[in-house]
Parts: sequence; structure tokens; C-alpha cells
Amino acid sequence: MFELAIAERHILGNPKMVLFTVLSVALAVGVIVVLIGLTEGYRVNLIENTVENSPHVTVEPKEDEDYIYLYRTLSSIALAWPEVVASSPRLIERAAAKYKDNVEGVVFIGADPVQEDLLMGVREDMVWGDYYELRFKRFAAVVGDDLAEDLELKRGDDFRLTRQDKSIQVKAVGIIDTGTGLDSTLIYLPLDTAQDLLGEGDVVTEVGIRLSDIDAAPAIASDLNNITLYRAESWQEKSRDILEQIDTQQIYSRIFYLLIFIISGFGIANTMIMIISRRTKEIGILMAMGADQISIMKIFVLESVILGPPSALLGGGLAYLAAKLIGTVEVPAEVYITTRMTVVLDPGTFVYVAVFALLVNFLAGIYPAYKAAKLDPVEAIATE
Amino acid sequence: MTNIIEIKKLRKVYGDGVELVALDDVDLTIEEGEVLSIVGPSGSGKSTLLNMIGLLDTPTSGEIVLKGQNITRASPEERARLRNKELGFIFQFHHLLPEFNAVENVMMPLLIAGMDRKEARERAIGLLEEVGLGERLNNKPNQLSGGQNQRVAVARALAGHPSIVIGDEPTGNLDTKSSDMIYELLRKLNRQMNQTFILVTHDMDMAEKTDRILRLVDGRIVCEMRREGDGFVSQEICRAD
Repeated sequence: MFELAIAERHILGNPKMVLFTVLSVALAVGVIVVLIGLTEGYRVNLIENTVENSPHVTVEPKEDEDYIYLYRTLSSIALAWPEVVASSPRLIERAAAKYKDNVEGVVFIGADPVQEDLLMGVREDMVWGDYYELRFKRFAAVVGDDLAEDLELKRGDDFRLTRQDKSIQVKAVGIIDTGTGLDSTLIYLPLDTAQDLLGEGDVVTEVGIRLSDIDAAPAIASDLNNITLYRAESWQEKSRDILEQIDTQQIYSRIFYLLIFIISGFGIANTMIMIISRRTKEIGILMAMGADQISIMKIFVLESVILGPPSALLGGGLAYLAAKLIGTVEVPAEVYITTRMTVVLDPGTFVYVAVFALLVNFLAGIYPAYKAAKLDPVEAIATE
Repeated sequence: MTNIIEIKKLRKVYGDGVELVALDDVDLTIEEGEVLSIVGPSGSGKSTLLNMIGLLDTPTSGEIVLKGQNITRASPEERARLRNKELGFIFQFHHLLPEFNAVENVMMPLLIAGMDRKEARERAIGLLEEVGLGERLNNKPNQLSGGQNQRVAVARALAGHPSIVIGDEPTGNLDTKSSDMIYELLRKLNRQMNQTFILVTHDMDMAEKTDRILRLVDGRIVCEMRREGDGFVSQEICRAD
């Protein structure tokens, strides 16, 4: 393979040009791997977050009703499915919290602490205090950490919750940090207390269900819809819009990635054309020595392709470093769903992008190589 | 002696619009083992004729027969194969590949021919020793003098044992001493291997050492002189310019 030997010497003979070509492709590879990783990280976080921080199935009131009245019956119906781990009737409403001169709008969740803990893992998120105190204390509340800070509320302080004409005084017995945007509005109350504040009697606004198998949610939701008149919805349906949005976004992303590769492809082609124009005379001499057009093409396609693997490797390394760096940057949880952006670097992504980079190098080399092969030997030798 | 090349009514016209006749119905027969020189003013068609014989260029009309085979309309692949097997080129400038050392440069036509690396290397070393560069095998072109590079180029032209060696001003860029040395080298190889040499030159001293001199003017052979005996040049046809 004299073609390979020549290609190799050409590359070693143009270190600067080659370096910039490799860098351009490496950057493209790096950027694409990181972007794919970020999208994937966002999707994984979103699903984890949805699965961890919201019920897997939510049952809401009948079509023409505002509240669920027979929630105990509904809850026990739900518990009949073997996959159902917890079924927590919850009263979720808005109110205003006032402590000293500070007033904040809040969302309170009234629920049975045992079922609610099974549903949401509330006790894991407690910063201090015990959520189970709500089982025995009627006028007690667990407050989101950001809300407590906004209200300047300390442990054991009494504060006032007001909803329309009703108002109650409760004691902050715990602070919770769920790690989501909810922390600035969330208040847990005992179910009785919440019902008192609402003043609609013994009602809830939803029954939250947790499953041992999250993939069973759509089937169970649809069964509940058939058996009862309540409206049951799985977590998949609830987050369908955002999941669809991610899918749509991925189509645009792919077009974007393709454009990045095309741009770096032009970079490679440009370098190859430069190399070939500097080597025109040499190409003529090779032709005089009997190298045919296929050999000349091979030389320059090889040159382009040889640059692929180092570009892909370097790009992979850059992506890895960038991913580590991005992982250390804190982002506001109100905007994103987590406090840190996660880049999911799947080995498959590296392989996929690397293969694509090689393909780009190959394609970008073809046209210049073809032009080189079509050179007229007499003219090529005569060039200065 | 057998004819190695027969050229019949060879014509080459360049340009679209304004036509330039580079070769005007040239007839020429070259015998095997002959050392032929082509002289003439610049633009007389010497290089064009040489490029035709070297299968680098194609004629507008006429025929070229190489070893009995009409190659006038041969495909690019066939021409490349013939250049590799039958022809060796020496240019005015050595035109060695700058990134390769002397041995590698001489090996190149052999590798193009598909010869095994080891065998090609052995033959290249043998040739470099033949041209007196046995000590400079691993030097790259920029580490050798002009004369030395030209000798490497001669070794490269001869590597594939071509039946015809073509030289376009092979000594045009060298001083008299190096020039004589190259010519003596070519002559020695010609005697050893009975290869045919076709040289384009401005150097009349060198031309007069060859077996036959062709003078080209305006694309026509206007004068042909053949050596007879020792140092005698007889004039056969010499049309008035």
C-alpha cells in the first residue's frame, strides 16, 4: 500500500494544518456528545423527578364535582391492585401564610402522614423535625425550606394560614427540602386541619397512588377509570406534553448536529484542497510513475480518513471533561427541575458520534481526492 | 534492431478558439536500445512530443505504436500501467518526493507496480549503489546536492526496468561536471541493459554524444542526424527552416 505511506507522510508533513482540521472535527464531536448528553440527562432527570416527586397515578374528582367525598372507599379499591404500594387521599389547596409581617402564598397538602410518606417519601426529605408529629398534633405544619426562609420562620414558631374567611394558627414542627421548585410554597398539614381550613367537610381533592412498577401506571389508571367515575391519570399522561416536547426538540437537535458536522466537513475539505494544491506537481510525478487515478484518489481519501480517529478520540475526551465541568455548575431549581445539570454520557453516544465523524472525514475527502485524480499529468508536472 | 516506438502522422493542436499547432504530422521511428536526443527552440514541440511518447498526453490525431501495440486510444488505467511498466521519467528538476529518503523514492515506482516491499528495497539499494549513492541511502532530497538528487531521480526512472527512459532536460539544471556524470551514467546503463533513451535537451554537447539528433521547429522535424562510426554525424534530411 504505497498510497497509505504517501498519505501518512503528507499528514506528518503538514502538522499545523492537520492539527486545526483535527481540532475542528474534535470540537464538533465534543459539542455534539455534550448536547446529546445534556438532553438525555434532562430527560432522565425529568422522568426520575416525575416518578419520585409525584404520584404514579392520580385520581381526581368526578366530572361535575369539585371534591372526592368517598375517598376512603376509593383508596381501599386502589389498594386491591398488587402493584399499589400506597394510596394517599390528599387535600391540596391554596392559602396565604402570615408570620409577623411576612405574607406568602402557599399550597398546602393535607394528608394522613403514614400514607403520604409511603406515597411521596416525605420523611426522607425532612431537613429537621419529624413529619409523623402531624399524626398526633392537630395544629402542626411541615414547611418547605425556601418558604420558611421567605417567611423568616424558625422551628417551633406559630404562624397563621388564611383561606378566604377561614384562618387557623399552626406551629412549624418540621422543615422539608424536596429539591424542587415546590419548596417555596409547600406546607404539609394533617388532613383534618386542612379540611377545617377548606370548610367543605370530609373531602379531599385527589387520591395519590404509588406503584411498585411504574410501567403499570397507564393500565391501572385506565382500569380505575372504567371501574369508578373518578378521573384517574398516570404519570406518563401527566408529563406527556413535556416528554413529547423533548422528542420534538430532539428532531431539531439532530438537524443541528448534522449542520455542525457539515460545517466541520467543509473545514476538512478545505484543508484537503490546500494540501492537494500544494502537491499538484507531486501528483503529476506519481502519475508519471504509473500511479493510476484510483491510487491518487485513495491517497487523499486515506489522508482525510486517517484524521478521523484522532478527532473522534480528542472530541470524546473534550466531551468527557465538559460533562464533568457542567456537572459542577449549580442551576436554579425553579428553572430546571434539578439543582445540577446532568450530562448522561452513554458509550453508545460516543460510538454513534465517532462513526459519524469518520463518515464526515470520508465524505469530505472524496471531492478533493476526485479532483486530484482527475488532474492532467502534464499540467500537474508543469505547475510551479 | 526492432522498432520500439512508431509514430505516424502525430498531430497535437492546443486551444479552443485560437489554435496552436504543437505537433504537425510528425513521423518517427525509434529503435530498441537507441539513445535519441531531441533539440530545438522553446515552443518547438519537443516537450509535447516527449509527453506523447511518455503517455502523459494524448494526440489530436495520428498514431503511437509502442512495442507493436497501438496505444493512441488506450484508457487512463492502461496508460498508467504502461507508464509504470515500460517507461521511466527523468525531469529537469529531480521531482523527488520531499518526505521520502533516497531509497524510498527509488522504491516508489516498484511499490506502485505492486512489488513486495523487501524486494523493492533491495532493488532500490542496488540501483543507488549503481549511481554512486550507496552511502546516502537514507538521506532526504533536502540533504542531497542537485547532482545527487538527479542521480536518485535516474535510479528511480530505471527502477522498474523500463524499456524506454524519457529525459526532459535531465541535466538542464546541473553544472557541467554533474551533467557529464549523469550522461555517462545513462550511457553506461544503456549499454548494460539495452534500454532506449529519449532525451530532450538544449545542451548540444550532450546531444552530439547520442546516436541520433532530431531537430524540431514549429512542431515539425526539420533535421535528423544519425551517428555513423566514431563521433561522426551524418546529415540525412535537413529541410531549410
